Amino acid sequence: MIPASWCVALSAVLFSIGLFGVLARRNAVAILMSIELMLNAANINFVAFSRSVSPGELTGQIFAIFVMAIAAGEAAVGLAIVIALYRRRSNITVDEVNVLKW
Amino acid sequence: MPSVLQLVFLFFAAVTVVGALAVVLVRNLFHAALWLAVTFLSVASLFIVLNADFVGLSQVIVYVGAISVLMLFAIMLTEDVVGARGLSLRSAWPAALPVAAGVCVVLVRWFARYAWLPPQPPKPGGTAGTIGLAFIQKYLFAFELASVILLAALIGAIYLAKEERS
Amino acid sequence: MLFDLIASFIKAVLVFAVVMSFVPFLIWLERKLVAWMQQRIGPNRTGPFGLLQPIADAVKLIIKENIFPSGVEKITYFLAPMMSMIPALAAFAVIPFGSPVRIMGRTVNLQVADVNIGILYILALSSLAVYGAVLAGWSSNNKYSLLGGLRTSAQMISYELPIGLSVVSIVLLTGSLSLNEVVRSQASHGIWNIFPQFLGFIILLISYNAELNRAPFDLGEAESEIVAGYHTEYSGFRFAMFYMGEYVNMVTVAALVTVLFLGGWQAPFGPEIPLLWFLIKIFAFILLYMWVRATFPRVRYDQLMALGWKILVPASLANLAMTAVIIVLGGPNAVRILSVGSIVLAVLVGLVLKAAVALRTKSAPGLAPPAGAGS
Repeated sequence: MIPASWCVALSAVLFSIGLFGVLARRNAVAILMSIELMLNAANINFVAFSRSVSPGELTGQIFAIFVMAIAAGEAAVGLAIVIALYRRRSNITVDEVNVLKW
Repeated sequence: MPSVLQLVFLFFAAVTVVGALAVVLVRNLFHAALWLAVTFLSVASLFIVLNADFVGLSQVIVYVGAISVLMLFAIMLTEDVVGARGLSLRSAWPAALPVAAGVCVVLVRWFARYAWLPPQPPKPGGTAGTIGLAFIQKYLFAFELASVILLAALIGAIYLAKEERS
Repeated sequence: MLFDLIASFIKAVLVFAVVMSFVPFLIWLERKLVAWMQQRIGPNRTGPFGLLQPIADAVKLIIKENIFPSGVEKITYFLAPMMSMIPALAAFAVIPFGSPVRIMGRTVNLQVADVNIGILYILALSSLAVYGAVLAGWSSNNKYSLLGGLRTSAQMISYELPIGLSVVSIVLLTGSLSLNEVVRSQASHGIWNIFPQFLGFIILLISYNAELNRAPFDLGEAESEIVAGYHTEYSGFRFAMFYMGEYVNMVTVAALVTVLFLGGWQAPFGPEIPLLWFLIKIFAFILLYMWVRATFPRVRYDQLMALGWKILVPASLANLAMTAVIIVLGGPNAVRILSVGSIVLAVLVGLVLKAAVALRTKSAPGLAPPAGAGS
């Protein structure tokens, strides 16, 4: 049996790496990838706690699947925005797309 | 002495962390997306180790098979064929480092204050049936809401990415 | 415990060996068959009927120099051919190819691993297959390769939807995600799934043709448009791996369709001989795909996408809805009602399609072939 503390530690590390990516990467697609990392960190916690809190009902696993559905929607819309941005500006570097209007 | 299962968990946890670091740090965006797929795959393996086989395989289908490929697709459409050049991190990245490290320390220390409930052995017969029933019974409203969100995302993505015709 | 371990190992090695040894034979078969259909002779120089031609080709490809073209990304270029073959081989692990047999007083499943969510496992692995094309297309440093990779990835992602939806209808009918259970439920229904899921079968047939990148849907490697698509820059053994991967994929898909729709290892008539009927069904399915390849011309890319999104996805949704409603309302007779309903639905879809094509031909004559332009 894997102790819950291991999962929690892993998820904290993964979340922080994702946070660093969101703050530090220049490219919009890379920022989206970092957000996916953070969502995955949340999912690890959901699944880990599902074993101890609701082993019969699997509530944690169910919510992990909800998170996946939302993440899929988020990725689709985010990438669509990136592609629209690239069409207009030929550039998806967030440092240079900071005027909120053009 | 850790058991075999624990060793497997540690291995995939290490792969996950290395992959995530590569996603954040690698300069070539295409490689970053491939590392993202590796990270997702190892997280899926972690799910299976944690008795969540249905969630693990859904993770492979949704994240590795769809989201990562979508990312690769967007990169191939928006970058030059040769690959991304120039700096991968913003000039202010040193400021992000203490923030992320601080969050990590706070999270770990805060989590460490609690004694977590010990994990229970899984029910026999797999998880797919239980999850499926819960979706159409207890969580029906949330399930329908999620499908509405997906539909909205679908329409929104098509509208945003569509080429404008004058 | 030890017995199980040894049995699994033997089964894994055996399945790998058998599937891999199918490949040269299938290559010969396809070349010969397509040649006959095109009034040619086909390979006939090496061995009797040219049977040794694939072996000669393989030897030639293997002893060729391993070339890394200049400007390729070595690691991804190296990984791409493997990524196109491994998922197909791994997917075979959950396919049951015979009823359990008794060896040394123990029951042995004729299946490498009896996973209770085998269908999900196969869908997951087939969603990984796209990486071979994407990696090859990107790492080759060639615009035709990139185009091929882009085309193939978009095509495979699009066609996974109708596949998933048709498979879900089978899951509804079976009530389980285990492939063994799918075969057993077909035995207990007394009717193969191809009848209550006729429309689903047609949809799966077309979608898997696109998923396998075979003609008429081989847009990612269309030689008249983009040289050879994502494997333009590949030669020697790495090209051979792409080539073999295509056939391994075909065997896996044929086995999967056999299990899902054609009753798995069950005999339609006569005695049930282990493996025999399974192999016959697989080969019938593969021959069908070769026939399709020799018959239809390659579609345009917009036609491919329109077929996937505007026809197959709605049709598979209709099929899923009908299956669900009839299973709930039909009770014990559901399978029989579905057998009629699915054929009616298939005919309906066909009529709607015909009307739509007629309408488009009337409204935009430029898009349709001119009258009397048949070959």
